[in-house]
Amino acid sequence: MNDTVLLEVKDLNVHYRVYEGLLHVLNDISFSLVEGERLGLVGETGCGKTTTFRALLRVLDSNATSRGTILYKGKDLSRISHPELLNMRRTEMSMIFQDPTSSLNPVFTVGEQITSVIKASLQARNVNLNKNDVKNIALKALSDVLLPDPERIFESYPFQLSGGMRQRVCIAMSVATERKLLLADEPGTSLDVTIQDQILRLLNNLVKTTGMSVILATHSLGVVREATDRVCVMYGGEIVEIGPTRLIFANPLHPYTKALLACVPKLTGEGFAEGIPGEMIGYLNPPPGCRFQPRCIFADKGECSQRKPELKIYEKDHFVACHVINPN
Amino acid sequence: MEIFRFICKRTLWSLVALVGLSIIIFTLSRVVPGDPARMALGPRATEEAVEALRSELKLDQPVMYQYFHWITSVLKGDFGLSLMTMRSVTDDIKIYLPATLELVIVAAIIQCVFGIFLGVLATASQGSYMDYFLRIVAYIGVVTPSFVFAVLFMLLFGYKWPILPVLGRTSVGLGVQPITGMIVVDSILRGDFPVAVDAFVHLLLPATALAMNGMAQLARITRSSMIDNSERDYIVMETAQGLSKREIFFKYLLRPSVIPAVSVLALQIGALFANAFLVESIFNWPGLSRYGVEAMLFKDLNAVSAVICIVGFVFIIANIFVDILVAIIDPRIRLKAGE
Amino acid sequence: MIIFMSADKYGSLRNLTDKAKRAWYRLSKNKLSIVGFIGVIVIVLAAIFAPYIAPYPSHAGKVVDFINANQPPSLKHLCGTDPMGRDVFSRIIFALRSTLLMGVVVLSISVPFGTTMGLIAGYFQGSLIDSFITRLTDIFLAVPPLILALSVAALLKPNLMNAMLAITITWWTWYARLAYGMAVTLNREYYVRSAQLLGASWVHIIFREMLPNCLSPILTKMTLDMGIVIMTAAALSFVGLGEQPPTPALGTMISDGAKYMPTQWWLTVFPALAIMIIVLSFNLLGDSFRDLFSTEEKQ
Repeated sequence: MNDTVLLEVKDLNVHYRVYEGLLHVLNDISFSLVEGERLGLVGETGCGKTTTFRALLRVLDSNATSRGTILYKGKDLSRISHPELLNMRRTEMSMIFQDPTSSLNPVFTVGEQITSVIKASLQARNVNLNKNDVKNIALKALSDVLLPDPERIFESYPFQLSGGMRQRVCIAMSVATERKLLLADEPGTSLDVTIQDQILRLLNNLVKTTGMSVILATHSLGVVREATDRVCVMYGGEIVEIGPTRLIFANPLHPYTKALLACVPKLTGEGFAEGIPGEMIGYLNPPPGCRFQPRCIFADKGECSQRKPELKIYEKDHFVACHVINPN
Repeated sequence: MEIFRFICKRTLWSLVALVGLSIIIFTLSRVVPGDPARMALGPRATEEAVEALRSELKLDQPVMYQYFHWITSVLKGDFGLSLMTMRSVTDDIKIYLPATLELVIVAAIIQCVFGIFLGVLATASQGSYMDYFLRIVAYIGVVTPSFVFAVLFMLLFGYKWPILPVLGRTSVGLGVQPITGMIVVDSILRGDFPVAVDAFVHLLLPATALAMNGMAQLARITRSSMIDNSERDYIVMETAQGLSKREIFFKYLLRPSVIPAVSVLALQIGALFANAFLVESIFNWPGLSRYGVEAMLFKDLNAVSAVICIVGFVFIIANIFVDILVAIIDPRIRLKAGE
Repeated sequence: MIIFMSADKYGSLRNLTDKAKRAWYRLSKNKLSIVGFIGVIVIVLAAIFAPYIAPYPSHAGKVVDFINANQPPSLKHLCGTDPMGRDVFSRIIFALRSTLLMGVVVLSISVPFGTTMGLIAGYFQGSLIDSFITRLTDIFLAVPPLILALSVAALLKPNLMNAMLAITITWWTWYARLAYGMAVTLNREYYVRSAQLLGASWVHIIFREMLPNCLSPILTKMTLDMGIVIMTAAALSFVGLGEQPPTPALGTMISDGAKYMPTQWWLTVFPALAIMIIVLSFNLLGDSFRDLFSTEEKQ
């Protein structure tokens, strides 16, 4: 890992227009990533992880609007031309989608889909390969993600594969050709624990051997602890805490992070996990102040419910957005 | 193969249903008041002549016996005597069926090709004036009965701008020795291309009038399923992987989106046959459907039953054809049909 | 709207009015729905008050006025006059009556019947009664509906009653199919199972537990079908198998008018336009109901 900044997101906002009005999903998200880094994005379902990824690749739904700057290698992704965008998607960044069942085209074979992706990527790199070589790349990618019998998988349709196999096909598609940044959206959710572990190891290896960076969105703190260098904790479309993984686990600052950590069942077996009372905020009319305030046991009536807390530095590399926590 | 078994099973049940329908129609036709023999011979025929015809047609026998007699001869390919033309119904059908088939097939092709094309065009230009225009046209197409189209086409192209022929299958004096009975096919087979062109030009207006309804429906179905699918995860994933817009649109979006359009095709072919009943009369097209309507109005029971059986049979074949077509496009059907 | 929302049997009255308000809000946002809604209301009112709206109410019957025959459209005769000298506009207004009556009668018989048949077959899935009903619907679907309706209407005496009968017996099968599919899914729902365990009779389960949950797709299909029934009815009267002269019917007017093409174009064009407008209004309304229900399911 060196210190060259690869990606810098500043004040990213995403809104969705729906029947009832405007959903304010992402609210001033800012974070950055250096080359070869593994960043975790943690939070409950619906906290905006997937939306962040989609905004990075500019594949938001048609009813969404985004605002803010996304600097990738110093270039603002929201301003680049369409050919540049295609090139970026083909050679720089790729995303592993969360739901492997719906993110594979049901009427094409795995082979057709993966070769299309590989061909596009090769084309952007000006590499000309014949059909057989492309197929070999595909087969290698499929066996890299530990799929048994890649030849058969290559000829199969998605519905003929199990959920775990589909998930690995999705991963294979994203890593078949080299990328600088991998956005992994809950890559282990539909896999059993042993395979999930293997997949994480595979991603780790890719980072080591190719110098690729990874942003890993997950709700599993175990995965975060094992597979990331740094963590962003998200709540209700805002980043509430950023810091090195070690520090976050050793010294969680934000009430939400604390509660999240308390939810993990303890191996010592002392009683149940606590859980977080209350429910996720609605994005239609989010509370004006801190979005976690309605569920926060530390919140005071004044500042917390009126003013949005800024990310403040607490200790080296460790930032938190909370009015209650005071920096040293 | 599973899909083969599935189609066989469905076809078998459809045939059973068709037999059931023939029983209902037959019974209905025999219990309604009115004497077919008297109607056929007219009010001035002698009582003896009517009686003779009645016994020849087995109208004096019980309905059960009549049906049994009728169905055994149908299985031998004999639909009995037409009271309207006083010829064998089988002979009549041999003349009229090819004309209708030719018309319906051309209409089906027109409606498929243009319907899906317009749907794709509207999707590609989504939100533009082109899209609005096409949507309005499609809406009008859906709500206009095909006989209205036929009458309007006659008015516009027959009288106002007489560029296309509006009556009959060929120009007067032209013709071809029949092989299949479909003039375009026959004249090509016999190498008589001027007749083929002439017959094809005669087909255009009636076939288009017939196709308008289904074409508009297909355009609407294609457009809405393409737009629905375009926000699916797999399309987002393919976009995120950097596939070109063109590849995504014409390959990965189009194929899953035409499946619903193709699935309604069986019903639409049925509707084409049904609407041909009216369109043929307007364009004076000597086809089975016009024959059917005339037979119905004449209460020519043998002819009506025969027409229903033949249309039902063609309907079954159309269903098999569409099943196969869907299976080709959709692997989920092809590989999972038995489950 | 209230009727539609009562599908939610657990909703309190306040909940219902709230839902109705939301539904109305969504409907009103789509301009085409408004067009459809207004169109349907205008058509229904015009049919009901035909004698007061039509400029020449007597022309709906057997009137002969050769002096004014074959007049092109003018302010005096908005849609012109026919060869008998009757006002085409008045005849169209009166023809709305049989047209709408047709749709209402056909649907109000075939929908309850078909739905009940479908629900019974679906509830007793796999039993003898299921295969009987399923095969029966197959029989009626063996030929295209219009052809079946034409043959039945032709075999009976040609009049409005028999045309209605002919369309009704072809129409119920679609609702049987729709309800069957839903009943099969609902069979697996817990509230149906618990009702069974509590010893509720099948009549109770079908009509009190299942039916309320199938209402919205059935009602949507009904609105969309209204247009199709009207088109089918027009096709029947086009070949002379519907309302008999001198009572006006749109299909008959078109086929009679076609004989005087192209000089007296108004005899054909205006009745044709009338059919298109009626069907369009019902389709727009049906489409907006469908959108309404499908977005409700999504949320």
